[in-house]
Amino acid sequence: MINKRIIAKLDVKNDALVKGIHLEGLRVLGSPKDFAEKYYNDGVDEIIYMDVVASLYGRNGLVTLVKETSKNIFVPLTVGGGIRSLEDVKELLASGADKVCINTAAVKTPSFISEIAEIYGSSTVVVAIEAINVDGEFQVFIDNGREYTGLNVLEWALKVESLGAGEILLTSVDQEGTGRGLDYELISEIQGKVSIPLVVHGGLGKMNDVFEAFSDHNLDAVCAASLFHYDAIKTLVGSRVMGNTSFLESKGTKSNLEALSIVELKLKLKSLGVRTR
Amino acid sequence: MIEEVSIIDYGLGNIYSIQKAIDLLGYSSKLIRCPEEIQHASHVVLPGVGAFPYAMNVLSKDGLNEAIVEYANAGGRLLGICLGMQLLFSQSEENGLSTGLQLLNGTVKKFPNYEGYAVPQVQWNQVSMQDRSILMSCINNNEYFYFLHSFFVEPNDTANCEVGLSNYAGKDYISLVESGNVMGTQFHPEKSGKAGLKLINNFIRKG
Repeated sequence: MINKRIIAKLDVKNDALVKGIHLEGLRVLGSPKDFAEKYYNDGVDEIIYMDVVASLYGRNGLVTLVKETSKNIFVPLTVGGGIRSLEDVKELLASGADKVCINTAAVKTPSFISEIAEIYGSSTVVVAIEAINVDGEFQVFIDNGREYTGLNVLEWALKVESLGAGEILLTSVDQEGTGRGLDYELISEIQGKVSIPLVVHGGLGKMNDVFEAFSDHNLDAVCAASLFHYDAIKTLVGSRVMGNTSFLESKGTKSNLEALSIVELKLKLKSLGVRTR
Repeated sequence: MIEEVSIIDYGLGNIYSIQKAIDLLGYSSKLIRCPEEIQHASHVVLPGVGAFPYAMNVLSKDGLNEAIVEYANAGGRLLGICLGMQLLFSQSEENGLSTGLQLLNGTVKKFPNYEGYAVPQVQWNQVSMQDRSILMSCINNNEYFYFLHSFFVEPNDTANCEVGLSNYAGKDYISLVESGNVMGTQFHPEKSGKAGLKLINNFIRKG
């Protein structure tokens, strides 16, 4: 039996939780730890922290945040962004991270995947694949969807699996931040073709999107950001929310997003017969 | 007296989170890197993430393997987590056959290919109790814990340590072992929310 996983992704820029659309146009929402704490108390299955400006500085800047988070949040924590060396991996794992998520470094140096897997085990390596539909073919992008690699999504997925990746986080850049639903054309490219766990991300906006992913498409794990942030900014009032949160309600995104806490989401899924913690 | 938990620090496993869980529960912890320190410990945690043979190599290099066995045989309370639990057993088939700490009887094997089940198992799975348990005291039967692993333990008939079972890839496998003072969890209690914290508390408290 598989219990479906619900994962919250928190994009972080210089200590602040941010959110964009299509991985761009980032707005500050608040303190990542406050949001993570809410999601933990709400029963989230895993948390992903992504340093979205790391590639600009050439290193992951989340060590302090990961340490702070691990003091009172006891669910699996994956950290990504700007991880280039085994030293980076070691530092994050020693700070409370359970898995590291790599994208750019994996594309530039595929053997990096195996190096991490050999020391820390496959289960520690998540490879993020950011995909964009380019004239009907799904291609891999790096540097937060900015740089074109020419790699085909399926070929790359099979390669990272053979190199020892323990999990794939598949992001549809086209759908990301829009709340318009998952991109099943993209997902079907690799679902069932790799035997490592697949986490899908990009476009979840409503309870029904999550339900469909689990029931109709038999996915095991989904990852969402805006969907949960949209609810959290209504709960975490005052000083804990800052910046321009109104954008989540603009650009036509609002109509796609349903304010739904993880507690409510899980209750509804269970009532519909989905197995979840 | 506040209990102090010793965590074996050999570079593998989420030691930071284990420490923070122990802190939150109101106990103190220290990291152990050399064999001499183990004999003075009252509670020892053996964490572990990664490959079995690599972990055994690291432990053997400094003689930590012998120190752990000595400690356990003298009745010291020991908790193996994830790979740390697998290391308690006789041997593993991961990357060829290699010998474990041999405190418990059984072989570590890879999950078979099974339609619809990815390997590694990454999920919150339920633990169903087969016997009375110290670790699961005051925790619901079939409670969810977080699992992340590709290998599982197949005990020998004489192992006599299976306390909790979980189901994955078409089989019931051991997710919780207790044999007197030697205990282990295939899941990560330090990543399993409040139930996990309770389990760690049970390990420390009832000593």
